[in-house]
Amino acid sequence: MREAPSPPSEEEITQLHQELTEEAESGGYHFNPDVEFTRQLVAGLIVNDRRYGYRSCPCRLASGKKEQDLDIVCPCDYRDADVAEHGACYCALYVSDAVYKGKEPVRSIPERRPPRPEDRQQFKSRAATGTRSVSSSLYRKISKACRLSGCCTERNGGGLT
Amino acid sequence: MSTCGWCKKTKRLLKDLNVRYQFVDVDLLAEDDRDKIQPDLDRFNPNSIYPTVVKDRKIAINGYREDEIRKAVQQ
Repeated sequence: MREAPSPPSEEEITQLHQELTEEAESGGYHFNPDVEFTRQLVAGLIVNDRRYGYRSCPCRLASGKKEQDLDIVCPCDYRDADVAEHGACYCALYVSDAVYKGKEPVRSIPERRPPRPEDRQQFKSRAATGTRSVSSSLYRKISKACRLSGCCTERNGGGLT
Repeated sequence: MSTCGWCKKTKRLLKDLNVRYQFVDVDLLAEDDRDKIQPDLDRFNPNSIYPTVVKDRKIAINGYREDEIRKAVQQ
């Protein structure tokens, strides 16, 4: 068995939950309103950060090699497509407006991550070349949230993508 | 997986249904042990979806599918 990292304290979970919630809202996203469920996922992010050195998705099996897991560093590359199509991302940390407002239930969704690593890069390229459109105001909000959180720096070695 | 909310929900559901079950948190396995269960993962969980519930090595349910899990328990 792999040695389990020390479990995060309630205070650590509360602090990161608050940080990520504020970040999500400022970027036009919603955290899952089921606080108990969401706190478990936030705890998982802290565990993965301690275990691997990066916050990989708590519901996906990380390789432990960051360069192979960049697409599943939270928020993952598949979040926007999954929230748009299924109302939630794969682990259900992020949800759609309808789910957030209780108009739709949150469900376990299919895995969008391609099994083959070479296909994962293609997914990211497709997403970056404009299959989705984002308003300039939303882009600015997202950009600001990225700069504040440093998420793009962690995922991409610097710079916004 | 030990970090996954859907896996926790599944364990709770099976407990509520009074099902005797064994589980493996694959994220806690050492690399050697993960290699040992790889054939089972390839067979029952080819798309790496967690949780995966296996009944009698015949039925595999990938993801938290409450209705399917309940149905499998009743069979």
